[in-house]
Amino acid sequence: MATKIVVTIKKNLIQKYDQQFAQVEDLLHSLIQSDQKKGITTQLIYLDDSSTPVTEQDVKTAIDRLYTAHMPDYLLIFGAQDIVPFQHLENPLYTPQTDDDEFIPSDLPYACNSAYSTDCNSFTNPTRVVGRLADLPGKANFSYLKIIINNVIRSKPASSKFPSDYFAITASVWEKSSEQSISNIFGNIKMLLSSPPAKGKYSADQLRPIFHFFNCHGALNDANFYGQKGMSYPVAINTRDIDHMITFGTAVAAECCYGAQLLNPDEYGVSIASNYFANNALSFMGSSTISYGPADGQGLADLICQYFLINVNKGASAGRALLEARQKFLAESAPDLDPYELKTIAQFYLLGDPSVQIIRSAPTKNAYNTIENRRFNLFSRGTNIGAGISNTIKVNERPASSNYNEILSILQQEEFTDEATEIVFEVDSLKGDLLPKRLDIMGIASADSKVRFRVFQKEVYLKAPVRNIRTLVIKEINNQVLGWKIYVSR
Amino acid sequence: MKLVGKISVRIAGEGTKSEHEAVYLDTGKESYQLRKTGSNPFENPELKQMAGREVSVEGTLDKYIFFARTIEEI
Repeated sequence: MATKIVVTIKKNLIQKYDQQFAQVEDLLHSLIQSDQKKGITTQLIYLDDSSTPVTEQDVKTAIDRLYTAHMPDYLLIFGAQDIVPFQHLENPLYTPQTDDDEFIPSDLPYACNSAYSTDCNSFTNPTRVVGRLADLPGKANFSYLKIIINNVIRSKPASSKFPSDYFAITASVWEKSSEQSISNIFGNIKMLLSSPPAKGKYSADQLRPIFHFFNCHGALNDANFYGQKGMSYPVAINTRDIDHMITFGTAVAAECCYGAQLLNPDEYGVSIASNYFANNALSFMGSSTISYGPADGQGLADLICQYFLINVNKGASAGRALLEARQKFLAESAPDLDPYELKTIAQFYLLGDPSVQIIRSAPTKNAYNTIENRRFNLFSRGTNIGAGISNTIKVNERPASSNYNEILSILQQEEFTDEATEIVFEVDSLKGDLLPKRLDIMGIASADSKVRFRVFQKEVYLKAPVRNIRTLVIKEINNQVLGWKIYVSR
Repeated sequence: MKLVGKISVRIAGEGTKSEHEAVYLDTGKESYQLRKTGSNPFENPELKQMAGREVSVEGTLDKYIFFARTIEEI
């Protein structure tokens, strides 16, 4: 029985690599042989062997069928989005000129047992260890493919000799939040660079640590991450800044908007994520779209990225590190996810072979510490978390509140005004009827027992040249405010 | 592709990690963020100076951004 399945679409590989397709297959067979030596039984499966998947739904259905048949420890999607498509989920926050992402290209559905859907709410139950080893999209570059597969073959867990070393850049305006993230991951902030003044051209010494972390601006179809101080947005790192400078086996987490996008090099240059792999990195975790963080402290992108790196640093395989990060993020956000939490869980994905272990785990005599037990626990945990999370749905009409004075008071306290744009999301009680049970037990059930998120977006402070525009999310039930959060550019 | 429209400057991505003052091309029917290919997406003083002017742009549209190879004032 295969413990790792590699899924891809043969027709798309042949179309892209043409006469070099046989060499691509040879490389994949070398990977299978190498995995065998590492104790992993790997099987290459072409999704179009039995039927031709045409739509994203076909691909999701085919992968689900295979997963159920094999129940592998690892699922490796082989190829960029032009070989195996991302699943395009509807963005609950889509608002032109505010959050312009109509869809979220995502690998999360491949990590969940739920049937095909374009609704993020369907995928709050991740149970599978998934990663994508992506070639360069839009262009057949066999040399690149050879590097990324051979690097997986060469990989072996590094010793955890320097677990507190890292290379990290933050936009200057987000320094406080990044300090918290970095401190949580590595226990020190001495190597954290702020941009500005950091503006690229880093030394080999700076780039040498195996862990890299970014909390910067990113943009669609752009191969830079940017810093910020006031209205100045210098390039914090350009994709070429890492050429020949990083250590074999580097693992990256990027909070940035579009941080893990994969670009056609002929159109926009090689993306930062792709160039990390060209320079012998083994894992890159980041976002496909516009990402979010809270005004103060930690949340959303901060959390999923730090959970991932903490898990990698403890010796988890890259794929398990992401699955456990997703589950922790969901467990802490549950039972009612606000729309920003929904987008976050959907948008972050892992590039790289999910079975790769970056750091050697500490030896343990714990008899339960088998991969089978870990997978069983992760499957159970993911299923339970998903069952306890209701759907969060945008409503068209703004519901009235008999307690709107309290909402107005929060708006005032947080320096919003009642003129701020308001979007309302309601938590649907249909999924397992969990919400009525909760409310009944708590003695607060009523005919209109709804958990609501009222989202206000408003520019509340402007002092040239610094702008501070914030999003306020108020959670309420039965017209009673339960609390509020602020998500903003910091 | 070619588009004709008026340049304006507005806040894009309010409340996101990429919030910034962006340059838009308003064609009368649609509004797209306008970016000169290869330029800094977050600060582009040359484009911002063109606010209010009618222009003809040639380039590629991807999702909500028009990546302009050439921008000519009409």
